[in-house]
Amino acid sequence: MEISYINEIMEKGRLIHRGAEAILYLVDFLGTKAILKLRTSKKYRNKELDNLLRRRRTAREANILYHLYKNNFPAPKLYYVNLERNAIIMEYLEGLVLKEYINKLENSDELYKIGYDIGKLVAHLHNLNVIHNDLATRNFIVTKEKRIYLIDFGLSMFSHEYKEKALDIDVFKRVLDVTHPDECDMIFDTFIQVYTKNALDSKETINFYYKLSKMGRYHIRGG
Amino acid sequence: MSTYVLGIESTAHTLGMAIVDEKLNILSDVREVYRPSRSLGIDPHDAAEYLSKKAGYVFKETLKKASVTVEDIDAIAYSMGPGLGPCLRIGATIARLLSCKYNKPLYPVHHAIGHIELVRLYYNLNNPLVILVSGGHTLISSFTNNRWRVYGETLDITLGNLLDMFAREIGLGFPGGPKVEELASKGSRYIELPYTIKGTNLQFSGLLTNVVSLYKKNIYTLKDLALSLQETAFSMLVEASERALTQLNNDSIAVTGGVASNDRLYAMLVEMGEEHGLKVYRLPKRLNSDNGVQIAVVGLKMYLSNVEPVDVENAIIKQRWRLDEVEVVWR
Ligand SMILES: Nc1ncnc2c1ncn2[C@@H]1O[C@H](COP(=O)(O)OP(=O)(O)O)[C@@H](O)[C@H]1O
Ligand SMILES: [Mg+2]
Repeated sequence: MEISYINEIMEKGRLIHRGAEAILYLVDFLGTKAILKLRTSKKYRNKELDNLLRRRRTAREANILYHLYKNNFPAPKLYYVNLERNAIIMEYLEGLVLKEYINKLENSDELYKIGYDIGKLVAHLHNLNVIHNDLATRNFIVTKEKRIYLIDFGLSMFSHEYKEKALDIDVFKRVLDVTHPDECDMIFDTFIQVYTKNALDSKETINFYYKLSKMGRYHIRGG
Repeated sequence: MSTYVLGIESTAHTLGMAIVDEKLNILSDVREVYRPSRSLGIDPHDAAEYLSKKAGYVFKETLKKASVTVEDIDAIAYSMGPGLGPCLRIGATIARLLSCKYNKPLYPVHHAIGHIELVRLYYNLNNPLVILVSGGHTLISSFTNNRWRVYGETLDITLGNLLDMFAREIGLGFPGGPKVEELASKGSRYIELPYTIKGTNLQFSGLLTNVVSLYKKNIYTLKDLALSLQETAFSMLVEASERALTQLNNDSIAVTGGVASNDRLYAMLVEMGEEHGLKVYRLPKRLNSDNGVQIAVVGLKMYLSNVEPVDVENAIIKQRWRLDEVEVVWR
């Protein structure tokens, strides 16, 4: 595929998001509605480091999307990747980002269902030995049918280590704490129960997670 | 009638005392800093002994510079934690002594809240994303529901530790931050180093191990290693901060703590902030490092909001104390 084609569909597409590390367009890719994700350069970052990170993350996201697709995990399907342009083209998921979905909720019973679904989803992900590394509520999409999908695998990695899994959970909890302080407990308690039931090594993972969250994390100053 | 609050800071290597008034004017700001020997790190007992020897002098100077007598002081605030036990005990002991002897109300202050509130109050910020980078902390925080929530932080060593330990390894002495900065400014080539970010959390210890082992191989110049270390570590922090911003609704960015004095880090944050239309605030460099002012301003707020002072017997220390455990009732 030519870079000129990517540029063309981008120009014809609609910008839908300017994020922390990428710009996303809704495009027409070979006749199909799709998302084009371009990792753009960061002005603050050293040029070489910047190029290196963008390439590596694009490759990693593509790899993981493909792995997840093969394993029936709810994530966008990978259509195409271009490492020269740091571009990924993937399935367009119509819906709301979980963060907005939660903010618009009228019925708090739904919070249990969210906790339940995400508990299953993260257990499934970890059972496939994938660590997401950024389980923020803006990285889930809820469709009209109320199915939850996970997106944004730029920081993800393959690992089966329970410590990494626990860190994933820690990130999720912190995000809930700060962005959804009123809903946090209802979502998280169910999440933990369901995760524990469904994830491999969940005992080790959860124990380590609790250790992490209790740790004062005050570090003796070096000198 | 003016209100005067004395703040006492002693969480690690600095004994700082300061007096502020109700308009947040800094009337005095006196410090003595313990410098460990070149080869060894900070020894808490050594540091505490040093701080205790300086206490009398620092106290007298603080009053003299402010032209205030002990009787004029309305309240005393001290850093209760987190920090090194022996050092914390010096500050707490001075605070208890002064409180009993002169019958003044006593307020315990969380050291990190001191750093954060000082920059917030100094620039009168509404809802900043605060990046606290010091020897003891590396965290990204935002205020919701009466608490400074920790949105991201280091999962192992702090950014201050990283720079200090690198400096020590290459024989630059303590504190390493400014020396690494100077060295890095002369570097030209980026050498790849481990870049570890988990959402908005960071890990620096792999980076430290790696850069030290490259140094020992003797194939790269110190300047380039220093440059690469800074570029990698700071990019991680700026990226984590940017990720935090996309999830929150802050209207400004503030950076504080000793490492905030690094001009490269500040420049990177400014560039990141511009993309979001947010201004980046940082204190005059002197106020980034540990000081009594940060403790005094929080004490002042507590005193003016009629927060119940602690009894002398409850004026303890907390070596470990998470920022988000503190309920801010005085704002
Ligand atoms: N496959 C997709 N379908 C629909 N919307 C998407 C898809 N991928 C991303 N988005 C939208 O774009 C936003 C940013 O995407 P993301 O991959 O998380 O990039 P960033 O690294 O900038 O966070 C998401 O929050 C979501 O609103
Ligand atoms: Mg995202």
